Amino acid sequence: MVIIEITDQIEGFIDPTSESDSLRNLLMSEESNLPNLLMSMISHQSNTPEYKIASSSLHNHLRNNMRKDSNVFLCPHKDWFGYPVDSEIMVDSSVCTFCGIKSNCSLNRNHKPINLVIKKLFNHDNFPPESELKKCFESRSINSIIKYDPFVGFSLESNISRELFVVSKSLFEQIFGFDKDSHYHPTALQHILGFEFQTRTPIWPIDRRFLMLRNELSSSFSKGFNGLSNRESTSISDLEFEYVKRVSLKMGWIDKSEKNMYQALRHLFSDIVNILKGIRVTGTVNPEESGIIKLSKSSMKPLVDIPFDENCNGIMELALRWVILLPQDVERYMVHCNKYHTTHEIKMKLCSRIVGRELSISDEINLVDESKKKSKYFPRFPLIVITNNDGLNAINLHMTAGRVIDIVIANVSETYYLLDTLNSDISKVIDND
Amino acid sequence: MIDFLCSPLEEYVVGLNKNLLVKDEQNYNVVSFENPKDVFLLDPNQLNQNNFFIHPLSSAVSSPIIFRSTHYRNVYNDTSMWMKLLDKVLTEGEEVISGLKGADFAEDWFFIMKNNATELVRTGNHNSVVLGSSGLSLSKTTKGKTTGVTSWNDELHLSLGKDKFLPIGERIVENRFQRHSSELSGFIPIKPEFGKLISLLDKFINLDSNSFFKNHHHLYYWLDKSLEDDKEFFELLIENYVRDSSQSRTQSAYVVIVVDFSRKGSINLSPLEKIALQRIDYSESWMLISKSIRREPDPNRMKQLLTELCLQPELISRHTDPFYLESDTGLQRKYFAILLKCDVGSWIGSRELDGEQVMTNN
Repeated sequence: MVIIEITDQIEGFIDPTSESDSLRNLLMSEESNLPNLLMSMISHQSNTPEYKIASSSLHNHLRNNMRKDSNVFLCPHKDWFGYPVDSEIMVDSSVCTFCGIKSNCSLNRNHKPINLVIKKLFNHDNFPPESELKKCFESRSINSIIKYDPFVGFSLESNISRELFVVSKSLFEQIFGFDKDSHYHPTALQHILGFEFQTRTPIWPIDRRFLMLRNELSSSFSKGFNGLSNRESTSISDLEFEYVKRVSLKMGWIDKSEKNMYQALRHLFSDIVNILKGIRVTGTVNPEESGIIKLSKSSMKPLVDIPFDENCNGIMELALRWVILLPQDVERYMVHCNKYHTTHEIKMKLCSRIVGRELSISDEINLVDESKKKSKYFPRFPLIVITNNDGLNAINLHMTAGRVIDIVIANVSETYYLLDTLNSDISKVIDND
Repeated sequence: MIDFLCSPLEEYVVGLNKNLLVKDEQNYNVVSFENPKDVFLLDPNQLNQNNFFIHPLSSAVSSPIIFRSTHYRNVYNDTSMWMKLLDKVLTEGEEVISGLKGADFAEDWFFIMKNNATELVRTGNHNSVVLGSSGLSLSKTTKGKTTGVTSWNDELHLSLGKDKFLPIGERIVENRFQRHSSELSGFIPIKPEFGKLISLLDKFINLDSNSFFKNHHHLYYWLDKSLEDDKEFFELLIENYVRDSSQSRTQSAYVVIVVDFSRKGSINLSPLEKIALQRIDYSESWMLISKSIRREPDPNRMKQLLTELCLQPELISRHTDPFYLESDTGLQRKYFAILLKCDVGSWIGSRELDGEQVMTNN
C-alpha cells in the first residue's frame, strides 16, 4: 500500500494558524468589535437568519481590518454574505478563520491534504515500486514539481481522499478479458460506458437507458412475452430486415450462406419489435411520449450511442441491443413464442448463437434461478498504464473494462494499471465469483 | 517544423483577437507543449483563457487526462462564478416550488436541477441550462393558443423533473421568429409569485456565457521530417482546421498528419506515436492534397504511406473527404495532410452526459 499526498494549493492562501500574531492583535484591539460579533454568531443555530446576519457582519468587519501586507484571495461565497454577485470580494486568512460557512467552503476543503491510498486490487498480485507509482501523480519542470489527482474529471470523488487500485495487466486481462470487443469498431469502443460482469457485455449510452426502462417496466414486458403465442406479429419492413441481417452477419449470428436462417431472423425480430411497441407506461396520458417509444425517438448516433457504424430506426436499434444485452430475455422469448411456427426449430438455433450457448427445444429452460443470473453492471474504469519501454508494444487503448487516460513509462518489471473504481464494489464481486 | 503549423495559427489568432469586442481575458492564445504533463505546469490564469494547445502526436496517448484536466481544473469547476449565479436562480425556484409542492420536493428539485445544470455545463451545453428541450433544462417554451392573425401566444414552463412542468409565464409574440429565439423577454408571470423567478431566468439567459466559459482546442501533430514550409499549403490547412475545431464548438481535439508524398524511405513511428494513433476517431476527418499530387495521382503510393503511418486506408477512404490546394503560386510540394478527430474520453457531442460515472450514480 502506498499513500500519495496531494494538496490543492490555492495561490495566496496561507494556513491561518501561521498568522496567529495578526489574529491575536485583532482580538486584543480595543476598538475591535470582533468578540461581540463572534458571540452573536455562535449563539445562534447555523440555519437561522440571525446566524447569517452575524456571520456577514463579522465577515465585513474582518475585511475592513485586513492587514495591508496580508495575502489576499477571492472569496468564493460572497453571494452568501450578501455582496453583489458581480463584485470581487477579497479576503485573507484571518477573515476565513472566523468564516460562518468555513466547513462548507471549497477554499477550506481544498486546502486540506488529499490522501490517495493505493492498494492492490487482488492480494496475490504484484505491486510496482512506490517511486515509480508516484510518477502518475506529478509533473516536473526544471524549477518545480506539481502534484495532482490524475482522475479529475473522471471521478466524482477526485480531489477527495480515497482508495485507488493497482492491478497487473496480465491479471486484469485474465479477469476482465473481453472476446466480444473484436465485434466492434474501435471508435465505438471509445464510447463504452461500462460493462456487465458475468456476460462481459459492453454497455453503450443507449443501453443504459434501455436497461433502466426494462427494469422499471418489467410487468409490462412480462405481459408482452405472455401475449406472444396468442397473436401474429406484424412483420418488420424489408429495409429493417436488411439492416438486421447486416448486423447479424457482423455479430456472427448468421452466415452469408445460411439462407434458411433469414426467415427465422425476420420472425424473431418482428416478435421482438412487437413486444417493444406494446410496452406501456401505466398512468401516462400519451403513450407515444413515454417509455420505450420515447427512447426509440431519441438520437442514436452510430459509433457513439450505439456500437454499429450505421443505424436504422430507434425501435430496431432497441430490439438489437435488447437481445445482445439480456440473453435471459431471449431464453424467455423461446419459452413464450409460438412453437408451432414453421421457423421455430431454426429460430432455436439462431437464439442459441445470440445467447452464446446451446438452448434445448423444450419448455424447461430454466428461468427460475434468477439469482445466479443477476446482472452486475460496472462503469468503465479510468486507468493509467504504468509500463516500461518494452511493454509499450502490447498496449491496447480500447478495452471494455477500462479507459486508458494516460501512459507512464517507468522502471517496472511488468505492466500495471492504476485505476479508480469509481466507488464500485468490484473487488467484492470478483471475490464472490 | 512546428512553426509551419504555429505561424499560420498565430496569424489567425492575432486577427481573431483584434476583432474581439471584449476584454483581454477573452483573447485567444496559441500554446505549444513538448510533454503531455506540461499542461499541469501552466499558470492557472492562462488556463482560464481561450487556448489552442499544440502537442506532438505522442502526447495523444495522454489526451484524456490532458483534455479533462484542462476542462475541469479551471474552466468548468463547480465553484465557477457562473455556477454561483445559477444558485441564485435555483434558490428562487426552490422558494416558488416549496409554496406549491412542499419543502422536501423543492429541496430535491434544487439538487436535481443543479446536477442537470452541472452536467450540461461539463458537456459544453451551457447555453441549454436555462432554456432547452432536452428535459435537463430549467425551463421550456411552448406554443400557446394562437391569439390573432398577426400575433401568437407563448407559454413558459418551469421543469419540475421527470417530464413534469409548471406553467409560470406567457407572452404575446408579434414576430413569429421570436418564438424560436433563445430569449425570455416579454413573459408575464401567470401568478405574481413567479415574477422574480422569470426576471432572474431572463437575466441569467442574457449573461455573456462566453466570458465565463473558455475555449480549449487541442491539436496533436505529426510532421514528416522532409517537409519544407509551403506557406500556402499550411495556411489552408490551418484555415480549415480552425473552421472545424472552433467555429461552432468550445472544445475540440484533432490529430493532424502532414506527409511528403515524394519522401524517400519508409516512415517509422515511435512506439508511443503508434499507440497515440489508436486514439483516432475515423468518423470525422478530411484530407488536404496539394495540386501537384492531383496531377499525378498514385493511389497505391497513398495507400502505402497511410499503412506505414499505421492508419487504416479502408476507413480513411470510407470516411474522409479529400480536397485540393488549387493555387499554383505556392511551392507546390507534393504534400498531403489528414485531419482526424482525436478521442479525449469526453462525452461532448454524445447524449450521455457524465460518461462512465453514470454507471455508479444510478
